[in-house]
Amino acid sequence: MKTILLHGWLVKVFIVLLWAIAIAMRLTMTDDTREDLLLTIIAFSNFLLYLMVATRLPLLTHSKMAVLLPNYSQKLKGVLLLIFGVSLLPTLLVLPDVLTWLAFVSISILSTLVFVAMIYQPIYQIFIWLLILMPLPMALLDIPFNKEKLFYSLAWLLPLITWLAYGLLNKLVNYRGNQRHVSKIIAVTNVSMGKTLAVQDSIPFADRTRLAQWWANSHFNHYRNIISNATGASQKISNRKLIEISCQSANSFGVNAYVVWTVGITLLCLLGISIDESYHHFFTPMVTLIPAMIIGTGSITLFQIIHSKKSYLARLAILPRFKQHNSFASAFLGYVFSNQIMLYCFIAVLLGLTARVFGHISVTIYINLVLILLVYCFLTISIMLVAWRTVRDLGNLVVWLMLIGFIGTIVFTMHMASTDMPLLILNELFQTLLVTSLLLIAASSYQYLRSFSKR
Amino acid sequence: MEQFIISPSSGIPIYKQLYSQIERMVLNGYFSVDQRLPSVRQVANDLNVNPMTVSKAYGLLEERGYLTRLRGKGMVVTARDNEVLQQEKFTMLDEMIKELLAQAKHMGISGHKVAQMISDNIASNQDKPEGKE
Amino acid sequence: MACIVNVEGLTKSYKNQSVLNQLNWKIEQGDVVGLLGKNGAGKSTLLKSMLNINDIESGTISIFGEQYNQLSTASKSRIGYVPQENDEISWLSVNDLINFRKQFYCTWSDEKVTELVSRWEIDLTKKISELSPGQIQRVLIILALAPMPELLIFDEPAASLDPAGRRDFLKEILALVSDESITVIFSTHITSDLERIANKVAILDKGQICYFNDLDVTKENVVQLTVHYQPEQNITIPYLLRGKKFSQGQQGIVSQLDQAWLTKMKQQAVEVTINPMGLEDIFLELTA
Repeated sequence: MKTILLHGWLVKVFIVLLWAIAIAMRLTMTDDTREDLLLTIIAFSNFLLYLMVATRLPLLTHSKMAVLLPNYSQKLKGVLLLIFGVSLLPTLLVLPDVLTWLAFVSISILSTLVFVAMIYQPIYQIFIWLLILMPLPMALLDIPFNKEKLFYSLAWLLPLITWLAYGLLNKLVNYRGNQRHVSKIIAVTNVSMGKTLAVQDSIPFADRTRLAQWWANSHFNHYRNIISNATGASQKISNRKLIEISCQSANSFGVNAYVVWTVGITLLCLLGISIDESYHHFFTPMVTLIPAMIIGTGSITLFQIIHSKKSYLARLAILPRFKQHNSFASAFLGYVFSNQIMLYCFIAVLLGLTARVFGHISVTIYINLVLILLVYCFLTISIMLVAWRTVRDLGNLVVWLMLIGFIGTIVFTMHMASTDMPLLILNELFQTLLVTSLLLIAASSYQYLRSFSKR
Repeated sequence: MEQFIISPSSGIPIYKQLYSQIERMVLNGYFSVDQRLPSVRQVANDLNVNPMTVSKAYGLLEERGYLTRLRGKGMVVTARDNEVLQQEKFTMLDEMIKELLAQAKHMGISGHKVAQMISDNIASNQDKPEGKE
Repeated sequence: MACIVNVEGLTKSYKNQSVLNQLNWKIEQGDVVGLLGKNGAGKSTLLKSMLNINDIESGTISIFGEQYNQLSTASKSRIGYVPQENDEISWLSVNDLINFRKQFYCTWSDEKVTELVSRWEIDLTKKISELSPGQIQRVLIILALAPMPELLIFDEPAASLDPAGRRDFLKEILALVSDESITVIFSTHITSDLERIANKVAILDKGQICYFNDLDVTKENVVQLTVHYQPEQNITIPYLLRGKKFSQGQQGIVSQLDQAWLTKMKQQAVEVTINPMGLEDIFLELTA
């Protein structure tokens, strides 16, 4: 069971790495100036672990064999307790005093409860949003944030929290409710990384939430209108548009998404302008999260959708419409490039806007970031093209590379923010990187065109 | 190795099919007296049927006196009086004749006509080499 | 023989539609029961309800004499179940899945697993998601057979198998049923498989087990009769399911062959021809 709950060597390595960093920091720390950073690292690594286990839990609790295999619930309970226990071991070495440790255990237990609840009953996701948004009302209402008091009360509440958690654990290992929602979660976690978002397409329409249905419908309506308006010969749909229509899915980043993000950011900026500047730093997590989510839904999703439609697109490519040499390939490349470039420009604009309002990144960093994103864009398109034209299934690898690249970008950005980095464009290493990425994307596109002309 | 042939989808239960087949094989001498029949397990395996079915057939054959169960050897063809054997052969043919006559009656052909047809057939057979009695 | 499964008054609805309605069923040790039913009749639902995979509205079910939802660990280890759809974790390799399952059982036959894996040519290193439906079915069958269970429940076990695979699967089951202490319940569309290995047939129709009897008895009783008589002789066929009169008599399908009536007909010189029917036809007649 451990292998199932902890599947995924990349995440495990990442977590263990964070633990190692935390322990190293503790050993080399002479004063407590970076105490907060240490706490954040250890909290983040543990939360990641709990989240990972929580997403895998439905595979075990809602498996049909759960009722038939002897001693199933007891084994599951044992394994969960074991994992939790092991996760607390690094904290013993890292945290400064007993009180903090006890408080941390309480926080761990509470967060585990929230994560698990979230997975089984999506309504509990509200807790995460509350946590992210909490600084706002606190800032607005001028509530002081006293860390000492919080930890003190959490430490004292530990016995109660433990008792509550143990009771819920017993219920969890026998839980079989909310089948519809849980089977959706299982559908997503039961596939490899290369398919996680694409698989959601196979969830029957009727099983989705009202919001998801409306979102998908309005997204598809845009394209339905294009098709139904193109009845006359004069209104022929262009090659690129045809391919665009073929590559749409309910999770695509379309007009809806652009509108929603624009509105969201505008509201956020308005809020930021009206609030006192000292509170701006509370918005930093949210503002850094936004480009991440846009890249995730706009870039990785695009890859997965097209990857899952490989055979469909291959069938399209041989239809009479595309019989002109390389017309399909060039139209396809046109679609991918235009889609991604628009996406990254959008992100660049967003970043600029939020930087102006919240001031969390300086102009230099902004320019550097835009260039890094450009490189990232080129590199990702290159590997996407490679994955799309090879016969072997490289879906997993590409998604992982994109994720790693993205996390690396964020880490680098944080590093840039804390040190005073000059303009990257003047750096020779970066110049080479930029040129290399340009070459790669050119080579990749060329190869893609060539592979089509062979048919 | 004898290969029995059964049809699982037939309306006749498998055990009955086996029974009829083995009965016929004993009566027409395909199985000689004291010959050992293949084991239940073997037959079931070859025919891909439930061993219980084969067991049932064998049991019925034992009951009717065709087979005897011998310790250590399995099912063995019983040695029987020639007269008894002959009687059983007659019974079997009698059944077939009854069916033939019933069928003829449905078609509106009289029993006498059937008898005549049989005589004709025997006459034409006499020109060919005779089969075993 | 001991009663292995006893279902009484089982009622289950799905989305306000009644699927199983006061269903009664009793299965004894050593039975090899084939469960037939039309598509959507509720065969899967019945099997899942019996195993507490589904919730039920009312009814009592006991397995090995214990309440079906409070089975002891010992009882659970004596049950093998092959579901119709595969919800095993798709990114586990076959080997990992086997090892995972093995941890739950005290008795587990590694020899059986090795034998079947090599006979059915299953690549242990492949992930479940990389296997074809037929191979997945085979893996599920191996997982069910490995702990040497005494009660085997198969839900459409041969649905994804090709004819050769079905033969193989049948052979496995036949090897098992030679041990008369093992009870098998399987639902299927393929009546010829059932005719080979089952000794009892159950038909699920309109929410109930409308027919449950020995297979041979069924074939000997549910037959087509052609009765020849003169119109003046007013003959009625007992247990008639449906029939048609013609000029010289009547032809019909009966659900039971009344021996007393047969003798009476013989005495009255009424001709009765019996045409037996295969199970598929029997099923269609009984559920018409």
